[in-house]
Amino acid sequence: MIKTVHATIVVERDYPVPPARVFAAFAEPDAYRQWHVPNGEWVTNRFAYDFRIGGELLAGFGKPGESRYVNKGRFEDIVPNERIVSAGTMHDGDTRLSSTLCTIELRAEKGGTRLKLTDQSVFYDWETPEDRRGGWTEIAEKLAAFLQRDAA
Amino acid sequence: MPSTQQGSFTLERIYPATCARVFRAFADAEAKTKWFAGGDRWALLERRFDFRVGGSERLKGRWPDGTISTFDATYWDIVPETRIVYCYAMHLGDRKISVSLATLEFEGAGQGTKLTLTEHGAFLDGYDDAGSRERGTGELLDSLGKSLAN
Repeated sequence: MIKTVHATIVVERDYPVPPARVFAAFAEPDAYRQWHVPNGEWVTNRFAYDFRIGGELLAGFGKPGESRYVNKGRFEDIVPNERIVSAGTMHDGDTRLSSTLCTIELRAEKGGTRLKLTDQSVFYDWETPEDRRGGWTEIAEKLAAFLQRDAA
Repeated sequence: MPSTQQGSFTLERIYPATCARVFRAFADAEAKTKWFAGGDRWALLERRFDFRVGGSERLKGRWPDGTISTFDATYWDIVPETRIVYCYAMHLGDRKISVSLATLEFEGAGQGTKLTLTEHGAFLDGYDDAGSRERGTGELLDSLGKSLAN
């Protein structure tokens, strides 16, 4: 049996747009779907996203045509333009890899937005906190590219 | 302006009972009701218990000072006699004070069972926990121990 690992991961990133724009990238399903997976070659093949407190999300993603990874979650708290708290489980096929409490905080700063993501997780299987940190860093970068495209 | 304060704690208990019995204290509605409540002067208002991955639990009650507390949990991982993971939100009245991810791990320890509880929390909007969640959770684990003795 693999021993569980508990970790807290914080990723911060600045975006040159107001908090309402960053919030909208999380709040609108069609926007979120465009940037939420870490790997540039992966695509989202299954997607359900009910952005309200108590609403559920499901994203299946991987190589084109595959949904190897499935993230299931629930929105626990939403404060428009300021905070999103969600909890959920990442799966590799039928195997539960990890469960996460994720808090996104947005703060207006110098004409833009400071995003602070706090990931508090328990890892059950092969996924590690280092994998997760790398994933969030890539996702934060994809969000930057999305916001730039969105502004163009 | 909303604020959020994250924190974590770990508690351990060793119970003189089998893993199956300690696990059952969390998995079975009747066994859990014996210890998971607010005490003699606390009045139960609502109870729901659906112990399965994706299932939810609610415990709502009124304290002697009139405060109504609500525990709303969703189960994210269950491995019988080994592990339980759930996320819960706590409300005091209409105010959401925290969202937490709790992991319970069960392992044999001699003739008994070691229970390790790891809790990650996000405390919301100035609610000052000041260690009360850790103390309260510890008291619940002690009540669990007493329920096993009966």
